[in-house]
Amino acid sequence: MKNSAAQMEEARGIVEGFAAQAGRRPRVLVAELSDDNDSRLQGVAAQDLGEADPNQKIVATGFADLGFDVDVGPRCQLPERAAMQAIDGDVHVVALVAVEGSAGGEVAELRKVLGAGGADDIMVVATDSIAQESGVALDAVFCLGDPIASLVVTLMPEISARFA
Amino acid sequence: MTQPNDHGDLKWGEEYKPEWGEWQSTVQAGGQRDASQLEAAKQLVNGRIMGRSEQMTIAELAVKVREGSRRHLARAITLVESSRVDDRAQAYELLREFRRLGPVGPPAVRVGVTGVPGAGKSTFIDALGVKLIEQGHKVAVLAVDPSSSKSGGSVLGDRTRMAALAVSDNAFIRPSPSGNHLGGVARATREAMLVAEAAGYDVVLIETVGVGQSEVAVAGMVDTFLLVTLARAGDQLQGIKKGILEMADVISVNKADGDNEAASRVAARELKSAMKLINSAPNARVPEVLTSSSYTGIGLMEVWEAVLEHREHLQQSGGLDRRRAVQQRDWMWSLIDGTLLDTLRQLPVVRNRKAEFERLVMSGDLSAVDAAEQVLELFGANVPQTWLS
Repeated sequence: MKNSAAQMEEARGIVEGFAAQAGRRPRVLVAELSDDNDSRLQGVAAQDLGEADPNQKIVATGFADLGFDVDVGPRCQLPERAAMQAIDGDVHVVALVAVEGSAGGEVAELRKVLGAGGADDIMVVATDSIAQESGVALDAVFCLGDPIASLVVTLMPEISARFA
Repeated sequence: MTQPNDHGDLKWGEEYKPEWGEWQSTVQAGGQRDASQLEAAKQLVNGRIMGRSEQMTIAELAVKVREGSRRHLARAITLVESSRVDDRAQAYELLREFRRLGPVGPPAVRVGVTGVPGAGKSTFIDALGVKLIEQGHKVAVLAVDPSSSKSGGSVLGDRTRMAALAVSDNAFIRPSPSGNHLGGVARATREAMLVAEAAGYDVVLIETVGVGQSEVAVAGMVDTFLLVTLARAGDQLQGIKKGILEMADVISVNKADGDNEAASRVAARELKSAMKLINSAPNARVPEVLTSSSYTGIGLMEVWEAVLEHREHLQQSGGLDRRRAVQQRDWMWSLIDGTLLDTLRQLPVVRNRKAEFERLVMSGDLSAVDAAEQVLELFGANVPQTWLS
Protein backbone atom coordinates (compact mmCIF):
# COMPACT_ATOMS: atom_id res chain seq x y z
CA MET A 1 0.00 0.00 0.00
CA LYS A 2 1.26 3.44 -0.89
CA ASN A 3 1.25 6.50 1.31
CA SER A 4 -1.32 8.88 0.02
CA ALA A 5 0.31 12.13 -0.93
CA ALA A 6 -1.99 14.21 1.25
CA GLN A 7 -1.30 12.12 4.31
CA MET A 8 2.45 12.33 3.76
CA GLU A 9 2.19 16.09 3.37
CA GLU A 10 0.28 16.33 6.61
CA ALA A 11 2.76 14.14 8.50
CA ARG A 12 5.73 16.08 7.13
CA GLY A 13 4.13 19.35 8.13
CA ILE A 14 3.62 18.15 11.69
CA VAL A 15 7.18 16.82 11.86
CA GLU A 16 8.64 20.10 10.57
CA GLY A 17 6.58 22.01 13.12
CA PHE A 18 7.91 19.80 15.88
CA ALA A 19 11.51 20.18 14.65
CA ALA A 20 11.26 23.97 14.74
CA GLN A 21 9.71 23.89 18.18
CA ALA A 22 11.91 21.22 19.77
CA GLY A 23 15.26 22.16 18.22
CA ARG A 24 15.62 18.67 16.80
CA ARG A 25 13.72 16.18 14.67
CA PRO A 26 11.60 13.48 16.23
CA ARG A 27 13.77 10.42 16.69
CA VAL A 28 12.71 6.78 16.59
CA LEU A 29 14.50 3.47 17.16
CA VAL A 30 13.25 0.73 14.83
CA ALA A 31 14.02 -2.58 16.50
CA GLU A 32 13.61 -6.31 16.24
CA LEU A 33 13.63 -8.02 19.63
CA SER A 34 14.64 -11.51 20.62
CA ASP A 35 14.85 -13.33 23.93
CA ASP A 36 18.08 -15.07 22.96
CA ASN A 37 20.13 -13.43 20.28
CA ASP A 38 22.84 -16.10 20.07
CA SER A 39 20.61 -18.96 19.04
CA ARG A 40 18.40 -16.76 16.87
CA LEU A 41 21.36 -15.40 14.99
CA GLN A 42 22.52 -18.89 14.05
CA GLY A 43 19.63 -19.02 11.64
CA VAL A 44 20.75 -15.81 9.95
CA ALA A 45 23.17 -16.00 7.03
CA ALA A 46 26.58 -14.52 7.87
CA GLN A 47 26.41 -11.75 5.30
CA ASP A 48 23.10 -10.60 6.78
CA LEU A 49 24.38 -10.37 10.33
CA GLY A 50 25.27 -6.73 10.12
CA GLU A 51 22.08 -5.93 8.30
CA ALA A 52 18.71 -4.96 9.61
CA ASP A 53 15.66 -7.11 9.02
CA PRO A 54 13.85 -6.22 5.75
CA ASN A 55 10.78 -5.03 7.64
CA GLN A 56 13.02 -2.92 9.83
CA LYS A 57 14.45 -1.28 6.72
CA ILE A 58 11.04 -0.56 5.26
CA VAL A 59 9.71 0.98 8.46
CA ALA A 60 12.98 2.91 9.03
CA THR A 61 12.87 4.39 5.53
CA GLY A 62 9.21 5.24 6.01
CA PHE A 63 9.99 7.28 9.12
CA ALA A 64 13.03 8.95 7.53
CA ASP A 65 11.00 9.96 4.48
CA LEU A 66 8.68 11.85 6.79
CA GLY A 67 11.53 13.74 8.40
CA PHE A 68 12.35 11.53 11.39
CA ASP A 69 15.87 10.72 12.51
CA VAL A 70 15.87 6.95 12.64
CA ASP A 71 18.12 4.65 14.65
CA VAL A 72 18.15 1.07 13.43
CA GLY A 73 18.88 -1.73 15.85
CA PRO A 74 20.82 -4.88 14.99
CA ARG A 75 18.92 -8.10 14.30
CA CYS A 76 17.52 -10.10 17.19
CA GLN A 77 18.34 -7.50 19.79
CA LEU A 78 17.92 -8.37 23.45
CA PRO A 79 15.36 -6.08 25.13
CA GLU A 80 17.91 -4.57 27.50
CA ARG A 81 20.20 -3.74 24.56
CA ALA A 82 17.38 -2.14 22.63
CA ALA A 83 16.56 -0.09 25.73
CA MET A 84 20.20 0.97 25.98
CA GLN A 85 20.29 2.01 22.34
CA ALA A 86 17.05 3.94 22.79
CA ILE A 87 18.45 5.73 25.82
CA ASP A 88 21.86 6.46 24.26
CA GLY A 89 20.21 7.89 21.16
CA ASP A 90 17.66 9.78 23.30
CA VAL A 91 14.85 8.68 21.01
CA HIS A 92 11.24 9.68 21.48
CA VAL A 93 9.79 6.38 20.29
CA VAL A 94 10.78 2.72 19.97
CA ALA A 95 8.99 1.01 17.06
CA LEU A 96 9.03 -2.79 17.24
CA VAL A 97 8.69 -4.58 13.90
CA ALA A 98 9.30 -8.12 15.12
CA VAL A 99 9.72 -10.08 18.33
CA GLU A 100 11.26 -13.55 18.35
CA GLY A 101 10.30 -15.59 21.38
CA SER A 102 7.56 -14.64 23.80
CA ALA A 103 6.31 -11.26 22.69
CA GLY A 104 4.70 -10.46 26.03
CA GLY A 105 7.90 -11.12 27.97
CA GLU A 106 10.19 -9.20 25.65
CA VAL A 107 8.03 -6.11 25.32
CA ALA A 108 7.44 -6.00 29.07
CA GLU A 109 11.18 -6.41 29.63
CA LEU A 110 11.91 -3.52 27.23
CA ARG A 111 9.50 -1.30 29.15
CA LYS A 112 10.99 -2.38 32.45
CA VAL A 113 14.58 -1.62 31.42
CA LEU A 114 13.56 1.73 29.94
CA GLY A 115 11.91 2.60 33.22
CA ALA A 116 14.93 1.49 35.23
CA GLY A 117 17.13 3.70 33.07
CA GLY A 118 14.97 6.73 33.84
CA ALA A 119 13.42 6.62 30.39
CA ASP A 120 9.83 5.61 30.95
CA ASP A 121 8.72 8.60 28.91
CA ILE A 122 10.04 6.94 25.72
CA MET A 123 6.98 5.71 23.83
CA VAL A 124 6.78 2.10 22.61
CA VAL A 125 4.79 1.18 19.50
CA ALA A 126 4.57 -2.20 17.77
CA THR A 127 2.96 -4.07 14.92
CA ASP A 128 -0.54 -5.40 15.44
CA SER A 129 0.69 -8.98 15.64
CA ILE A 130 3.17 -8.11 18.40
CA ALA A 131 0.44 -6.19 20.19
CA GLN A 132 -1.94 -9.13 19.99
CA GLU A 133 0.61 -11.65 21.13
CA SER A 134 2.12 -9.61 23.93
CA GLY A 135 -0.94 -8.17 25.61
CA VAL A 136 1.32 -5.39 26.95
CA ALA A 137 -0.04 -1.85 26.80
CA LEU A 138 1.49 0.05 23.87
CA ASP A 139 1.40 3.72 22.93
CA ALA A 140 0.24 2.88 19.41
CA VAL A 141 -0.19 -0.09 17.10
CA PHE A 142 0.53 -0.22 13.38
CA CYS A 143 0.34 -2.76 10.56
CA LEU A 144 3.35 -3.60 8.43
CA GLY A 145 2.37 -2.45 4.97
CA ASP A 146 0.21 0.39 6.20
CA PRO A 147 1.45 3.91 5.57
CA ILE A 148 3.86 5.09 8.25
CA ALA A 149 2.35 8.54 7.72
CA SER A 150 -0.85 7.56 9.53
CA LEU A 151 1.19 6.21 12.47
CA VAL A 152 3.19 9.44 12.54
CA VAL A 153 0.06 11.57 12.52
CA THR A 154 -1.24 9.52 15.46
CA LEU A 155 2.01 9.71 17.41
CA MET A 156 3.09 13.32 16.98
CA PRO A 157 0.60 15.01 19.35
CA GLU A 158 1.84 12.90 22.25
CA ILE A 159 5.51 13.36 21.27
CA SER A 160 4.91 17.11 21.13
CA ALA A 161 3.16 17.07 24.48
CA ARG A 162 6.08 15.27 26.07
CA PHE A 163 9.06 16.83 24.35
CA ALA A 164 8.28 20.17 22.72
CA MET B 1 33.81 25.51 11.35
CA THR B 2 33.42 25.01 7.67
CA GLN B 3 36.84 26.17 6.62
CA PRO B 4 39.52 25.81 9.24
CA ASN B 5 41.79 28.25 7.48
CA ASP B 6 39.15 30.89 7.28
CA HIS B 7 40.31 32.91 10.19
CA GLY B 8 44.03 32.92 9.71
CA ASP B 9 46.71 32.01 7.28
CA LEU B 10 47.58 28.83 9.13
CA LYS B 11 47.78 25.65 7.06
CA TRP B 12 46.77 22.35 8.59
CA GLY B 13 49.58 20.98 10.76
CA GLU B 14 51.64 24.14 10.44
CA GLU B 15 53.11 25.62 13.56
CA TYR B 16 50.86 27.94 15.43
CA LYS B 17 52.38 30.63 17.57
CA PRO B 18 49.70 32.42 19.50
CA GLU B 19 50.49 35.95 20.54
CA TRP B 20 49.70 35.27 24.13
CA GLY B 21 50.66 38.69 25.44
CA GLU B 22 48.26 40.43 23.19
CA TRP B 23 45.47 38.03 24.06
CA GLN B 24 45.90 38.40 27.78
CA SER B 25 45.77 42.14 27.71
CA THR B 26 42.50 42.30 25.86
CA VAL B 27 40.59 39.14 26.64
CA GLN B 28 39.23 38.30 30.03
CA ALA B 29 40.95 35.23 31.36
CA GLY B 30 38.83 32.07 31.43
CA GLY B 31 37.65 30.29 34.52
CA GLN B 32 36.52 33.41 36.33
CA ARG B 33 32.78 33.48 36.64
CA ASP B 34 30.81 36.19 38.22
CA ALA B 35 27.79 35.60 40.43
CA SER B 36 25.33 35.87 37.56
CA GLN B 37 27.03 33.02 35.77
CA LEU B 38 26.96 30.80 38.82
CA GLU B 39 23.31 31.68 39.10
CA ALA B 40 22.77 30.61 35.49
CA ALA B 41 23.86 27.06 36.27
CA LYS B 42 21.04 26.88 38.79
CA GLN B 43 18.32 27.32 36.19
CA LEU B 44 16.27 24.29 35.24
CA VAL B 45 17.21 22.48 32.06
CA ASN B 46 14.58 23.19 29.40
CA GLY B 47 11.66 20.79 29.67
CA ARG B 48 11.84 19.60 26.08
CA ILE B 49 15.30 18.20 26.80
CA MET B 50 14.51 16.49 30.08
CA GLY B 51 11.03 15.30 29.17
CA ARG B 52 8.14 15.31 31.58
CA SER B 53 9.46 12.84 34.07
CA GLU B 54 12.36 14.77 35.46
CA GLN B 55 13.37 18.29 36.40
CA MET B 56 16.90 19.31 37.24
CA THR B 57 19.23 22.25 37.04
CA ILE B 58 22.12 22.53 34.62
CA ALA B 59 24.54 22.06 37.52
CA GLU B 60 22.72 18.87 38.56
CA LEU B 61 22.76 17.59 34.99
CA ALA B 62 26.51 18.17 34.87
CA VAL B 63 26.97 16.14 38.04
CA LYS B 64 24.77 13.29 36.72
CA VAL B 65 26.79 13.16 33.51
CA ARG B 66 30.03 13.01 35.43
CA GLU B 67 28.63 10.23 37.62
CA GLY B 68 28.18 8.17 34.47
CA SER B 69 24.40 8.15 34.02
CA ARG B 70 23.77 7.15 30.40
CA ARG B 71 20.33 8.75 30.32
CA HIS B 72 21.75 12.08 31.39
CA LEU B 73 24.76 11.81 29.08
CA ALA B 74 22.37 11.17 26.19
CA ARG B 75 20.20 14.11 27.18
CA ALA B 76 23.16 16.41 27.61
CA ILE B 77 24.17 15.54 24.04
CA THR B 78 20.63 16.28 22.90
CA LEU B 79 20.96 19.66 24.59
CA VAL B 80 24.22 20.55 22.84
CA GLU B 81 22.81 19.32 19.51
CA SER B 82 19.68 21.43 19.75
CA SER B 83 19.36 24.22 17.23
CA ARG B 84 17.18 26.37 19.50
CA VAL B 85 18.84 29.54 20.66
CA ASP B 86 17.63 29.13 24.26
CA ASP B 87 18.97 25.56 24.31
CA ARG B 88 22.28 26.84 22.97
CA ALA B 89 22.55 29.18 25.94
CA GLN B 90 21.98 26.27 28.30
CA ALA B 91 24.48 24.14 26.40
CA TYR B 92 27.13 26.82 26.92
CA GLU B 93 26.23 26.88 30.57
CA LEU B 94 26.62 23.11 30.80
CA LEU B 95 30.05 23.27 29.16
CA ARG B 96 31.08 26.05 31.55
CA GLU B 97 29.93 23.90 34.42
CA PHE B 98 32.10 20.99 33.21
CA ARG B 99 35.00 23.37 32.93
CA ARG B 100 34.41 24.61 36.42
CA LEU B 101 34.25 21.07 37.82
CA GLY B 102 37.58 20.30 36.16
CA PRO B 103 38.69 17.35 34.04
CA VAL B 104 37.74 13.82 35.14
CA GLY B 105 41.05 12.34 34.02
CA PRO B 106 43.91 12.83 31.58
CA PRO B 107 42.89 14.35 28.23
CA ALA B 108 40.95 11.86 26.13
CA VAL B 109 42.37 10.45 22.91
CA ARG B 110 40.33 12.04 20.14
CA VAL B 111 40.38 10.25 16.80
CA GLY B 112 38.48 11.02 13.61
CA VAL B 113 37.71 7.95 11.49
CA THR B 114 36.70 8.35 7.90
CA GLY B 115 36.64 6.42 4.62
CA VAL B 116 34.46 5.93 1.58
CA PRO B 117 31.14 4.15 2.11
CA GLY B 118 31.80 0.41 2.21
CA ALA B 119 35.39 0.71 3.46
CA GLY B 120 34.28 -0.93 6.68
CA LYS B 121 34.60 1.98 9.08
CA SER B 122 31.85 0.78 11.38
CA THR B 123 33.10 -2.80 11.63
CA PHE B 124 36.62 -1.42 12.10
CA ILE B 125 35.44 0.77 14.98
CA ASP B 126 33.46 -2.16 16.38
CA ALA B 127 36.48 -4.49 16.43
CA LEU B 128 38.94 -1.84 17.63
CA GLY B 129 36.54 -0.52 20.27
CA VAL B 130 36.09 -3.97 21.79
CA LYS B 131 39.88 -4.37 22.07
CA LEU B 132 40.24 -0.95 23.68
CA ILE B 133 37.57 -1.78 26.23
CA GLU B 134 39.42 -5.01 27.02
CA GLN B 135 42.39 -2.78 27.84
CA GLY B 136 40.27 -0.88 30.32
CA HIS B 137 39.26 2.12 28.22
CA LYS B 138 35.83 3.67 27.98
CA VAL B 139 35.02 4.30 24.35
CA ALA B 140 32.56 6.85 22.97
CA VAL B 141 31.67 6.67 19.29
CA LEU B 142 30.06 9.71 17.72
CA ALA B 143 28.93 8.88 14.20
CA VAL B 144 27.79 11.61 11.85
CA ASP B 145 25.33 10.36 9.24
CA PRO B 146 24.08 12.42 6.33
CA SER B 147 20.54 13.79 6.51
CA SER B 148 18.29 13.67 3.49
CA SER B 149 18.16 17.08 1.90
CA LYS B 150 14.66 16.23 0.69
CA SER B 151 12.85 15.12 3.83
CA GLY B 152 15.39 16.33 6.38
CA GLY B 153 15.24 12.92 8.04
CA SER B 154 18.05 10.39 8.33
CA VAL B 155 18.69 6.70 8.80
CA LEU B 156 21.32 6.11 11.47
CA GLY B 157 22.13 2.47 10.83
CA ASP B 158 25.72 2.26 11.94
CA ARG B 159 24.96 0.50 15.11
CA THR B 160 23.77 -2.57 13.25
CA ARG B 161 27.43 -2.99 12.29
CA MET B 162 28.72 -2.33 15.78
CA ALA B 163 26.98 -5.27 17.38
CA ALA B 164 29.89 -6.30 19.59
CA LEU B 165 30.66 -2.83 20.86
CA ALA B 166 26.99 -1.99 21.32
CA VAL B 167 26.58 -4.61 24.05
CA SER B 168 29.36 -3.20 26.23
CA ASP B 169 28.55 -0.99 29.18
CA ASN B 170 31.85 0.80 28.62
CA ALA B 171 30.88 1.91 25.14
CA PHE B 172 28.61 4.78 24.26
CA ILE B 173 27.54 4.96 20.62
CA ARG B 174 25.68 8.02 19.48
CA PRO B 175 24.87 8.44 15.81
CA SER B 176 23.90 11.99 14.92
CA PRO B 177 22.25 13.36 11.80
CA SER B 178 24.36 15.84 9.89
CA GLY B 179 21.40 18.16 9.51
CA ASN B 180 21.35 20.46 6.57
CA HIS B 181 23.94 23.00 7.44
CA LEU B 182 27.44 21.94 8.15
CA GLY B 183 28.35 24.50 10.77
CA GLY B 184 25.69 23.00 13.00
CA VAL B 185 27.04 19.47 12.96
CA ALA B 186 30.62 20.60 13.50
CA ARG B 187 29.63 22.57 16.57
CA ALA B 188 27.33 19.88 17.92
CA THR B 189 29.88 17.10 17.42
CA ARG B 190 32.61 19.04 19.16
CA GLU B 191 30.37 19.77 22.11
CA ALA B 192 29.08 16.18 22.23
CA MET B 193 32.72 15.10 22.42
CA LEU B 194 33.28 17.37 25.42
CA VAL B 195 30.17 15.97 27.10
CA ALA B 196 31.34 12.39 26.51
CA GLU B 197 34.75 13.25 27.95
CA ALA B 198 33.10 14.76 31.01
CA ALA B 199 31.30 11.44 31.45
CA GLY B 200 34.68 9.71 31.69
CA TYR B 201 35.09 8.37 28.16
CA ASP B 202 38.83 8.46 27.57
CA VAL B 203 38.71 7.45 23.91
CA VAL B 204 36.43 9.36 21.56
CA LEU B 205 36.07 8.08 18.01
CA ILE B 206 34.27 10.36 15.57
CA GLU B 207 33.09 8.58 12.45
CA THR B 208 32.17 10.38 9.24
CA VAL B 209 31.47 9.27 5.70
CA GLY B 210 34.47 10.32 3.66
CA VAL B 211 32.79 12.23 0.92
CA GLY B 212 32.56 15.80 1.95
CA GLN B 213 33.21 18.76 4.11
CA SER B 214 32.32 17.16 7.40
CA GLU B 215 35.79 15.57 7.47
CA VAL B 216 37.39 18.98 7.40
CA ALA B 217 35.23 19.95 10.32
CA VAL B 218 36.05 16.77 12.24
CA ALA B 219 39.77 17.09 11.55
CA GLY B 220 39.44 20.43 13.29
CA MET B 221 38.44 18.80 16.56
CA VAL B 222 40.48 15.58 16.88
CA ASP B 223 44.12 14.82 17.67
CA THR B 224 44.56 12.19 15.01
CA PHE B 225 42.74 11.63 11.76
CA LEU B 226 42.47 8.01 10.63
CA LEU B 227 41.53 7.09 7.08
CA VAL B 228 40.12 3.60 6.50
CA THR B 229 40.40 2.42 2.92
CA LEU B 230 40.49 -0.77 0.85
CA ALA B 231 42.82 -2.55 -1.55
CA ARG B 232 41.84 -2.18 -5.20
CA ALA B 233 40.17 1.05 -4.24
CA GLY B 234 41.90 3.11 -6.89
CA ASP B 235 38.66 4.42 -8.23
CA GLN B 236 37.31 4.80 -4.72
CA LEU B 237 40.31 6.78 -3.66
CA GLN B 238 39.52 9.26 -6.36
CA GLY B 239 36.20 9.64 -4.61
CA ILE B 240 38.11 10.77 -1.54
CA LYS B 241 39.03 14.34 -2.06
CA LYS B 242 42.72 15.08 -2.03
CA GLY B 243 42.08 17.36 0.89
CA ILE B 244 40.97 14.39 2.94
CA LEU B 245 44.10 12.40 2.05
CA GLU B 246 46.14 15.40 3.11
CA MET B 247 44.46 15.44 6.48
CA ALA B 248 45.11 11.75 7.20
CA ASP B 249 47.58 11.12 10.03
CA VAL B 250 47.25 7.34 9.87
CA ILE B 251 45.86 5.24 7.02
CA SER B 252 44.64 1.68 7.35
CA VAL B 253 43.94 -0.58 4.39
CA ASN B 254 41.06 -2.60 5.82
CA LYS B 255 39.72 -6.06 5.02
CA ALA B 256 43.27 -7.38 4.77
CA ASP B 257 42.31 -11.01 5.24
CA GLY B 258 42.07 -14.19 3.17
CA ASP B 259 42.53 -13.66 -0.55
CA ASN B 260 42.64 -9.95 -0.03
CA GLU B 261 45.66 -9.89 2.25
CA ALA B 262 48.41 -9.70 -0.37
CA ALA B 263 46.56 -7.10 -2.40
CA SER B 264 46.10 -5.04 0.75
CA ARG B 265 49.82 -5.05 1.46
CA VAL B 266 50.56 -3.89 -2.08
CA ALA B 267 47.92 -1.18 -1.74
CA ALA B 268 49.43 -0.03 1.55
CA ARG B 269 52.89 0.21 -0.04
CA GLU B 270 51.56 2.20 -2.97
CA LEU B 271 49.62 4.53 -0.73
CA LYS B 272 52.69 5.07 1.40
CA SER B 273 54.72 6.32 -1.56
CA ALA B 274 51.77 8.36 -2.77
CA MET B 275 51.53 10.04 0.62
CA LYS B 276 55.18 11.09 0.37
CA LEU B 277 54.29 12.98 -2.77
CA ILE B 278 51.24 14.58 -1.27
CA ASN B 279 53.07 15.80 1.83
CA SER B 280 55.91 17.45 0.01
CA ALA B 281 56.83 19.85 2.79
CA PRO B 282 60.40 19.06 3.90
CA ASN B 283 59.68 18.37 7.57
CA ALA B 284 56.18 17.01 7.18
CA ARG B 285 55.47 13.75 8.93
CA VAL B 286 54.48 11.12 6.39
CA PRO B 287 51.40 9.29 7.61
CA GLU B 288 51.78 5.69 8.68
CA VAL B 289 50.06 3.30 6.25
CA LEU B 290 49.09 -0.09 7.69
CA THR B 291 46.85 -3.03 6.92
CA SER B 292 44.16 -4.39 9.22
CA SER B 293 41.29 -6.83 9.31
CA SER B 294 38.22 -6.21 11.42
CA TYR B 295 37.27 -9.83 10.75
CA THR B 296 40.42 -11.55 12.10
CA GLY B 297 41.47 -8.65 14.32
CA ILE B 298 44.98 -8.76 12.83
CA GLY B 299 46.60 -5.36 12.56
CA LEU B 300 43.97 -3.50 14.59
CA MET B 301 46.18 -2.85 17.57
CA GLU B 302 49.06 -1.86 15.27
CA VAL B 303 46.78 0.79 13.82
CA TRP B 304 45.94 1.93 17.32
CA GLU B 305 49.65 2.02 18.18
CA ALA B 306 50.23 4.22 15.15
CA VAL B 307 47.44 6.52 16.31
CA LEU B 308 49.02 6.78 19.76
CA GLU B 309 52.48 7.27 18.25
CA HIS B 310 51.19 10.10 16.14
CA ARG B 311 49.64 11.64 19.21
CA GLU B 312 52.83 11.10 21.20
CA HIS B 313 54.81 12.75 18.42
CA LEU B 314 52.44 15.71 18.50
CA GLN B 315 52.78 15.92 22.25
CA GLN B 316 56.58 15.74 22.20
CA SER B 317 56.84 18.47 19.63
CA GLY B 318 54.34 20.62 21.44
CA GLY B 319 52.05 20.08 18.46
CA LEU B 320 49.19 18.66 20.48
CA ASP B 321 48.85 21.79 22.58
CA ARG B 322 49.14 23.88 19.46
CA ARG B 323 46.61 21.78 17.60
CA ARG B 324 44.19 22.10 20.47
CA ALA B 325 44.89 25.83 20.73
CA VAL B 326 44.11 26.27 17.05
CA GLN B 327 40.99 24.19 17.54
CA GLN B 328 39.88 26.41 20.40
CA ARG B 329 40.34 29.45 18.21
CA ASP B 330 38.37 27.85 15.38
CA TRP B 331 35.73 26.73 17.83
CA MET B 332 35.29 30.31 18.97
CA TRP B 333 34.63 31.36 15.40
CA SER B 334 32.33 28.46 14.68
CA LEU B 335 30.34 29.34 17.80
CA ILE B 336 30.04 32.89 16.58
CA ASP B 337 29.13 31.79 13.05
CA GLY B 338 26.59 29.30 14.34
CA THR B 339 24.98 31.57 16.90
CA LEU B 340 24.65 34.36 14.37
CA LEU B 341 23.03 32.03 11.89
CA ASP B 342 20.67 30.36 14.36
CA THR B 343 19.66 33.71 15.82
CA LEU B 344 19.05 35.14 12.37
CA ARG B 345 16.96 32.19 11.24
CA GLN B 346 14.90 32.07 14.41
CA LEU B 347 14.22 35.78 14.62
CA PRO B 348 10.41 36.11 14.37
CA VAL B 349 10.58 38.98 11.91
CA VAL B 350 12.82 36.91 9.63
CA ARG B 351 10.76 33.76 10.03
CA ASN B 352 7.55 35.59 9.26
CA ARG B 353 8.89 37.08 6.06
CA LYS B 354 11.02 34.14 4.96
CA ALA B 355 8.40 32.72 2.62
CA GLU B 356 7.76 36.15 1.13
CA PHE B 357 11.44 36.78 0.40
CA GLU B 358 11.88 33.31 -1.04
CA ARG B 359 8.87 33.76 -3.30
CA LEU B 360 10.05 37.13 -4.57
CA VAL B 361 13.52 35.78 -5.30
CA MET B 362 12.18 32.69 -7.02
CA SER B 363 9.78 34.67 -9.19
CA GLY B 364 12.58 37.03 -10.15
CA ASP B 365 10.88 40.11 -8.67
CA LEU B 366 13.73 40.58 -6.24
CA SER B 367 17.36 39.74 -6.86
CA ALA B 368 19.07 37.37 -4.46
CA VAL B 369 21.58 40.08 -3.65
CA ASP B 370 18.92 42.63 -2.75
CA ALA B 371 16.95 40.08 -0.75
CA ALA B 372 20.03 39.07 1.24
CA GLU B 373 20.71 42.71 1.99
CA GLN B 374 17.15 43.28 3.17
CA VAL B 375 17.18 40.19 5.40
CA LEU B 376 20.43 41.32 6.97
CA GLU B 377 18.98 44.79 7.52
CA LEU B 378 16.00 43.20 9.27
CA PHE B 379 18.44 41.29 11.42
CA GLY B 380 20.43 44.42 12.17
CA ALA B 381 17.32 46.26 13.30
CA ASN B 382 16.27 43.39 15.56
CA VAL B 383 19.40 42.01 17.19
CA PRO B 384 18.65 40.39 20.56
CA GLN B 385 18.64 42.78 23.50
CA THR B 386 21.23 40.70 25.36
CA TRP B 387 23.78 41.53 22.67
CA LEU B 388 23.41 45.26 23.12
CA SER B 389 25.55 46.51 25.96
